[in-house]
Amino acid sequence: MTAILLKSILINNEESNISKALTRKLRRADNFTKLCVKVTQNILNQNNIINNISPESRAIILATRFGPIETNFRYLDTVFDFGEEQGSPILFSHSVHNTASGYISRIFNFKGPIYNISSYSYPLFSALLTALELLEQKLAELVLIIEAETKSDLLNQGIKDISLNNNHTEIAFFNYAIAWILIKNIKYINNEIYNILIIDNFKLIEYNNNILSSSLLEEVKITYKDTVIKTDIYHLGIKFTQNLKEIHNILAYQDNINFHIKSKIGYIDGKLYKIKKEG
Amino acid sequence: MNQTNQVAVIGCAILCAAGSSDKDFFETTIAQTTPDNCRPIPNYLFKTRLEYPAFFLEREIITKKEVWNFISPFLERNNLPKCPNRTIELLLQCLYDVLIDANLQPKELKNKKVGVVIGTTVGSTFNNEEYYKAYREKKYKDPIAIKNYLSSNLAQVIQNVLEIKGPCMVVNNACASGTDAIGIASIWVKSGLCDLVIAGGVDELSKIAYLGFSNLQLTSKFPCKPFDISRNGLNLGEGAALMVLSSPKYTIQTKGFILGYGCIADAYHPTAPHPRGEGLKKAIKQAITQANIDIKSISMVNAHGTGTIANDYAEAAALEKLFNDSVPIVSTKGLTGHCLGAAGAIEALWTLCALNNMLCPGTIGLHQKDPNIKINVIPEKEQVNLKNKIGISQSLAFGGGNSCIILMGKD
Repeated sequence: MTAILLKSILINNEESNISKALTRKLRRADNFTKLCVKVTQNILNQNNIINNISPESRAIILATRFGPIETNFRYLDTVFDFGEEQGSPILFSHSVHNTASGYISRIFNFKGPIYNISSYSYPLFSALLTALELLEQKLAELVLIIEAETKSDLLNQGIKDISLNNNHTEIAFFNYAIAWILIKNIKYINNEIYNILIIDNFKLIEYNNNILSSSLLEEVKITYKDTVIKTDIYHLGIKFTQNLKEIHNILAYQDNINFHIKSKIGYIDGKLYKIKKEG
Repeated sequence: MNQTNQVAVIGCAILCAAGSSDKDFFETTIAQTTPDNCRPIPNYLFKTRLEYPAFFLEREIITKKEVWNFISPFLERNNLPKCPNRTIELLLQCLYDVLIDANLQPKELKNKKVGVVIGTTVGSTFNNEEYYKAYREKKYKDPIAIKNYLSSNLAQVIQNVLEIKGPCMVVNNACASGTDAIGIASIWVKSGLCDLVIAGGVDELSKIAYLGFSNLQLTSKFPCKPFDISRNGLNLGEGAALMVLSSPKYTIQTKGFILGYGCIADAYHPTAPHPRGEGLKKAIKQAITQANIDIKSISMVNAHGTGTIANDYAEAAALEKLFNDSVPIVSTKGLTGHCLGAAGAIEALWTLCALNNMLCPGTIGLHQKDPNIKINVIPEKEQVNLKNKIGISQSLAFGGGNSCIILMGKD
């Protein structure tokens, strides 16, 4: 199984800048949607690969633990404050998990498969598995993967209460979105230098359903050469994406790197190349 | 037909207002009597001042001791109450039924690569109004509600109950979730990622969804009338449907096959489908390509058919372009209501039943077809014999999703 990863971006700032061109399109959007659209805009601005692939062959996979949970509460606010007949239809429609991917599809012209998936433990790995299958089955030629979460004080407080009662390590979720682009065919890459991750092998061993389970409190190890990068399990997607940036920096001095990422649920074997495709 | 393109359906289970098995459900449709189970919301579901009727099940979903014996170890292991929520109860009853139908023992699954893909909308949301209200008013809240929520990822619940390991996923593609769950499962089987996949959809009738659809002015105060001149909206419903999928080469028992799957975005509007059904047309073509069949092989289409103006026109536009009026079309929403994330799975199983019987019953609620709709929708009280056992079940969703699967009845 081989796929090619182009770029990766991390946003963890609630007040992410939205370009003027997007402001109008996002005037009704909630924070979850804005994060997802912004991270997509950033990744697409870094390269023009998308222009080489037809809209029908561009897929989106949006993976999350909780989706727009706070938007759901804002909708309930309108019901509690104004009555059942006066709940906000705009807030309700944005409380659905797939609203953000719908925005991305419209704004950036993605007309291929769209999947919104939820997993409490490893959303990014679930998305990666699905993306690789879409590429293998030729249902898409480019897959945009996003992992996103928005901060929820209610949820963080609830998790804190449970953690205190059970001596678990406290965890808290905050605003972030990560985007990856996977393609299978290198012909779509233009005459530019890219740092490219070749995923040679990806396998999920098992999932664990409970983010509070103490059995998950172990490190995920990302190793390359003799270096081990330690990362925490709860924000695996963010940490992994950050580590990819470090790996990219190392590539400034190396031609290629082999690496192996292993966690309780699976592993990814890959190579990272610095290439220049000749025009 | 090339067997490598096929995925076998080896077990089915349904739970909805129209029946507690695929056979029940299909026979209810054949009877062609307008059901009396589209009613005002009972207090045991939730209290509301709104008067939009819906299709729902009884207060207790799981009533048999053997089902509780099956799921209790999971609940105890996770320190959970008798059932964390109604969606889980629907799911577990359906899981019990589908394993029996597929003639599978849980212990024999442990040594296989078993995947789980479940579609839902409500099932992934923290829909606890009481908890949120207390939080808003800064009152004490027992965090058990949060703990239950964090233990309620539907695919992972099935993994826990069966103690199986393999890929698992919850699909939140709104009203197309059930169709997409089965579609993804078929990809997993075709690629060899899994020996078996348990796939389908489940959704309870939740107050937030009920109010939300009402606030969007999509609900009808009367039983829905898909494709009818006087249609004025949808009725919500609740239910679950699961399939067990396998490669035909490992299978003796089959109920039918999944031949192809398509999923295409409209990229048009946040909640409305493309008026000419552009995405749906492409999704159907994609599924036909995947199935490696001629479009003329399609003998029937089970439409999304919600009974809203926008949905019915979009579907009709797409189907007219592809099939003219040559293929019988039906909607089953008049028997089940719109079961959201479960709808696609429920309708796929019903379609398989229709194909195996080579019979397409009429659309409950359709008495006088909208003259602007040119496709061959079979009205209530009528039925059509099918020319073969290949058909389509399709779903449209908020966010512009269009999904369809091509099914084939058993030989």
